[in-house]
Amino acid sequence: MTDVMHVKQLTFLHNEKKRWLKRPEVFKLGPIELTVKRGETVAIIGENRSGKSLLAKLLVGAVRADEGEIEINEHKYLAKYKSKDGQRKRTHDIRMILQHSSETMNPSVPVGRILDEPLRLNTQLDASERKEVIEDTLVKVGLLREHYYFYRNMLSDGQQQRIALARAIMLKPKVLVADEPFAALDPSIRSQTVNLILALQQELGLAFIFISHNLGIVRHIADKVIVMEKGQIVEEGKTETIFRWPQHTRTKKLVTAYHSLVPQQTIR
Amino acid sequence: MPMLDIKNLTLEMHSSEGTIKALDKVNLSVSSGEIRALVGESGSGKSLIVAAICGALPTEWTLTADRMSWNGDNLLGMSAQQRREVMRREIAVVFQNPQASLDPSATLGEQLEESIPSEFVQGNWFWQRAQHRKKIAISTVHKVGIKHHKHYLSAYPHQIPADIGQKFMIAMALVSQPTLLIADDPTRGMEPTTKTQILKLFTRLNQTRSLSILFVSHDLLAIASMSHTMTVLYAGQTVESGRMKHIKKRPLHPYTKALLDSAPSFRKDLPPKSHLPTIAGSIPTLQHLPIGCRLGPRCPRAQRACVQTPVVRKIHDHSYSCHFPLHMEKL
Repeated sequence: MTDVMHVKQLTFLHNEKKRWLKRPEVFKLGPIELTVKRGETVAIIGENRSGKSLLAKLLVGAVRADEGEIEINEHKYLAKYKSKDGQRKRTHDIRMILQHSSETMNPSVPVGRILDEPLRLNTQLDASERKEVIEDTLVKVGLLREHYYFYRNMLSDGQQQRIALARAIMLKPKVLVADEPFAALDPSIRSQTVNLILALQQELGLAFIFISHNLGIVRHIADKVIVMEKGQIVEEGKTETIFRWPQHTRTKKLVTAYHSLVPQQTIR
Repeated sequence: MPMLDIKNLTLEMHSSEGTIKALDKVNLSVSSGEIRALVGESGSGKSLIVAAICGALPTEWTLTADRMSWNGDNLLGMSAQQRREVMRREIAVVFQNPQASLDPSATLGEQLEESIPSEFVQGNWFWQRAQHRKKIAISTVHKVGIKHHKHYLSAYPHQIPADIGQKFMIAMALVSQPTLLIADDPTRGMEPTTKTQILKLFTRLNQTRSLSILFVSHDLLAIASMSHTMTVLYAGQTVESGRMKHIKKRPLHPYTKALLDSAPSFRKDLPPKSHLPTIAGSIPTLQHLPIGCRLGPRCPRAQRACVQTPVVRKIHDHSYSCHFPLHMEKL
């Protein structure tokens, strides 16, 4: 397996200035080193406010980092980009799924237009080619071509999640970053989404980085687990290793919390 | 005898296209000292049942039930005054969305102190009573696992993170020492450590104070670890109910089985990255409910008879409503 993504010295500093009678709030993330292989699934777990979502946003470049380098497919990107760098510094190889898929879709615009946008902004395809790509992608995520004309409110939760996934894989990325993709979904829809992502990963060779509180799913689909606390990676390793022999206290806490919920005796 | 006893609860909403049965003959009972889980996906009517018990439903919807009683008293026939009395002292509810259900114009401390019943407060003079109220508030907040009471009790609801809000709702529910706690998805979006903390608190209260809990959620892992009995709801119909142990070991309804299968943690033999067993399709919307058994179109075992609503059948205390239940060939 080849490495598809290298992250070096990624740092983010949130520093609110000290004001009269107010303690400065400091939040430091990193420095973070991370390597992702092709087709690998990486799970990020940790407490709330440990910087998981921020890390995901930094990886896709939604938030500007203070220092660091992200290397995707041998192309180097400065994580500390400037907005005037524009299009040529952007990459199609990494895309993100946000947590509440329904809230990230414009309710007044049909699905086709929503999916059209990334293509229009990032490729040179003309209208008919774009439509073809969109319809192919819709089929790929298990929807119908007709969903092109649907609006958000006509779709169920699971379908909306599929649209979000379609939007993410539209530009044929190598890496997919997802912020709690399964949290808002119902159990039966969740299993469908998990299956879909597993199938897409096999088909496209996607590397998948996701944040989750649901350790059952993490254990099921992740190859590697990263544990975060206070903006630092405190432990990382193979999923089985982390779940069986947790080293750091935070990991131990999370894993014992999970094990206390899972029935120890096998069912059936 | 069950404390809360609901039989054939039906809720009809009237719209321009006719009436919609949002709840269709739901049966639910909670005995004293029992943790009953109410499981269902979104849109299955879990929260409607909670609202029906509280009496918080809009008056233009028609609610009918063969029986809906609290300790033998008919909840539907009560006057608003009596109903409020019951809701204030005996039943406490943790609502789903803390940010939306807390008063945005008062601090958390004020709201919590307000919900302490006055007979719990000791002291003759107003300053003594105020002090004691504050003391009760702080100890309750500590009990649910909020550490910085000084900061959070003087904060407004919009200033606190969602998980603190959840815990705070639980604190407000517990402060009046109810006999039944209805928790509507209390652990949503919590990280595993906090979740187990809350679940442990519930279990402890159940054991020490014999508090009955109606635990409404779709987090099967949490439910399986603490509840004694379980009722499964699908699109406004109760599909199966019985003891947790029995249901987990041998679900009779295909939907229950699909729900249990959807949590990969329940299966030790499942190889990583394998295809999870699912039930095809998605939850029907209220406007397009199928006739008969509402699982029908999605059910892998559906046959022609499924267009008729199945009657509730019972084996000991395990009841189910399905024409072609699982595992029945063996019996």
